Amino acid sequence: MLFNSVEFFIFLPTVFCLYWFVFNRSLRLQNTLVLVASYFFYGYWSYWFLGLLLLSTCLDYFYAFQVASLDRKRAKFFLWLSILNNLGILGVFKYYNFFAAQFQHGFALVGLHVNPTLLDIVLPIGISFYTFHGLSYIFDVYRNRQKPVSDFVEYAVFVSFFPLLVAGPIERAHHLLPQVQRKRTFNYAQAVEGCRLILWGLFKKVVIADHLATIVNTAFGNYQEMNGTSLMVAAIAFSFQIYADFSGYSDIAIGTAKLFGFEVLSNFKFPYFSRDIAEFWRRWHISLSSWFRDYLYIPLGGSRQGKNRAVRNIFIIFLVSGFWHGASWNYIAWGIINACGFLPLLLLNRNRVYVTGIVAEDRMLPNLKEVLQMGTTFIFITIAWVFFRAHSVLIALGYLRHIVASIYRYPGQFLHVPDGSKAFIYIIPLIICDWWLRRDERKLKKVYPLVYLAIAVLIFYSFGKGHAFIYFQF
Amino acid sequence: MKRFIVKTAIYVATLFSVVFLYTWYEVSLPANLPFTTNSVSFNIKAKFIMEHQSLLNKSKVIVIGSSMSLNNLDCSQFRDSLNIPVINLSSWGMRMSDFNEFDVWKRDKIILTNMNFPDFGSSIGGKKMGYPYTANTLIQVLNTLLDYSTYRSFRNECKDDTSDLAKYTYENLKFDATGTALLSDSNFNINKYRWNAEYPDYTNEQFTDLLNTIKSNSIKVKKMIICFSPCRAAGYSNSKAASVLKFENAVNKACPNVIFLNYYDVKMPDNDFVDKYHFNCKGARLYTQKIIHDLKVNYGLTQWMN
Repeated sequence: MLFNSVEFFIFLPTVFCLYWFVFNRSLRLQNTLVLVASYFFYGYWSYWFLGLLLLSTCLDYFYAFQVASLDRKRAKFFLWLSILNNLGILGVFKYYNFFAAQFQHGFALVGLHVNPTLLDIVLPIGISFYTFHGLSYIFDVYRNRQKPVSDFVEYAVFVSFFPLLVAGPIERAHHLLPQVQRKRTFNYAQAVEGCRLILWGLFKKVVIADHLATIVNTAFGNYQEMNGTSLMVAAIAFSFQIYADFSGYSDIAIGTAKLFGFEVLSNFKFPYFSRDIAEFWRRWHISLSSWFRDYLYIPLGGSRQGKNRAVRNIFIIFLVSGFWHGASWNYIAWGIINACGFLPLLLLNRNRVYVTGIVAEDRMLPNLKEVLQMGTTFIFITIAWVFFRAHSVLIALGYLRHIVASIYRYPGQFLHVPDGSKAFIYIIPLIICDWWLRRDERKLKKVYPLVYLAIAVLIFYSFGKGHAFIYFQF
Repeated sequence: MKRFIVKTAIYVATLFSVVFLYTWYEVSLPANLPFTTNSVSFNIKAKFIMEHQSLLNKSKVIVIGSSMSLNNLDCSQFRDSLNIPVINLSSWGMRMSDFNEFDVWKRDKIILTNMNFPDFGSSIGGKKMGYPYTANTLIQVLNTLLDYSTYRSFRNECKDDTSDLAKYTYENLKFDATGTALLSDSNFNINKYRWNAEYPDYTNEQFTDLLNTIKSNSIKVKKMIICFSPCRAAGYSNSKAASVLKFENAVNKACPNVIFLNYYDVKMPDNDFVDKYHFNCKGARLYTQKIIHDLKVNYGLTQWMN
């Protein structure tokens, strides 16, 4: 079920009313309702894949007891079993065809022709997210940060809580599970904040991202026919499309969770106001970046074991991050590009310059240095996004080459309004709103109700085909 | 909790009042568009049928299908050369099974359709909502509320200035007296994106489905004529030609009441097309002349027409 669909706006109030009015007598009843609603939410797309979700949940539930109760050596065995199980599911459904094709190409290079069997299956929605929920739980149990949960329903709610099920934010067991196990009471302020976030998220998705998508799709589908400036505009538009799309989704997810009395991790902190790549990655898809930091980068040694090890770890993190997004070389290239952008900062010990605070924290506007920093970071990120959006590395390179060649041949094109320039009608208000909110997101509270009504009207009239969120495919 | 529910209800009620009143105002504007389904082309065609109900009743030849029939056949030639009433009910992305609601499968009708590989992909015009055509404003308002973004694109397309014949491109929604799309002679390669646009590939299941639809419907009518359209060289392939031949044989074997005219192998110059599969006006005229000629000479069209 899509958040931006009519079905969801029937489903959400129904579950909300049942949750607070009918099933509010006990925590167990509420959790059972959330579990049933979550499985309905997921099964509405395809009930076949509910089995996979249930299997993954059952196995991790069982492994966690073994990990907690056995000695370290045998616990490690079950930890690895869980990792293999979760990554095995991902491997079969997400990566098998990719590796089989690479295997075939590799053999073809040496003149051998093999025909590996390819699987004719669709990628189950949200598989990368719920497997990471399960892994986070097992890791936390292994590190004694979390006790194994005895109540299966509670654990299943943690894995499949419907606002987070298909595209995150990726929660940590030690953060979400205690909330599942604690009695929840209705909080007016929390619910109102949830509604505001849902509205704001829908605005970003339906009004901004979906309109930008039209411009982006035209450009990426026909880049050979378009001039350089139009392609530049489309690349910028994609940077904002993916931001509005995914941060919009996260806002709706966080807002929905608030309606049920849950506080979940934040996923975005105004990433395009970052002054370098390191800051960008502390502000973009925070729940995934911090997941990789905690469960991969630090266990690999982080930056504490010399520069060479740190460089290796950074490359591993970004490669895995790219590969997590999809079994395709363009995502791997996107990861490598980001690693290359991060590396100079690491080598110069400047990767932790902007850890706290936000640009122009005590001022209305940024100074020239900050503008240049934000500008160069944005340009770098936008170039990397081209690889993310294109269907292959060759298309991405062709797209970028076409921009350069076109501008070199016809520099006069800058004097004309490029195709797709109406993208800025959507981009500029988003930048202004983000700039206004950057110091304190609670400012959303201060917005007049009439403005929310206007936003709701805009959402309503932009509501259409129910474009899926970009991150559903991961 | 009560405060939250009451406030939310007031908010939602205000929102719906605003959008309902505005939508009512919008659909009541002079253009009064028949927004009864989410297919732009089908809505316009429904309006045309509403205005030409008698033509539908008395037509001996009913043309059905997708843009392959809407654009690629010049139905006024059929009407003039045979001197019988002809109506073209086709619209973008329509499938044969979609025509059940028009009640066209009758013993005294000849059904003519034209097809090509785009017909085997997903529906271009979008799935219809299934509402019967009606001029009721309330229904239109409700449909508009359900799918405002389609309504908006629909309204924009209808606003396009097509007073100049040269602007009658593939996308135009104006019809001649038979219901065929008005196209311009001067347009070929009119849209750089459309010219080489890719269409979804076909599957054997789609051929089987279509064969079953033809089988069940062709027995209800006087005669069914199926033409398989030529395409630009860029859209032609030997494997597709073999598939068409296979399909033709299957139709001929299973449906005795059907005349299958396979023109897929006919070569026509690029300047007769607006993209890989759709003709411009000149292409449609030449193609239709060929169909009429073949039907008259090889199938004795004038004899069984009476």
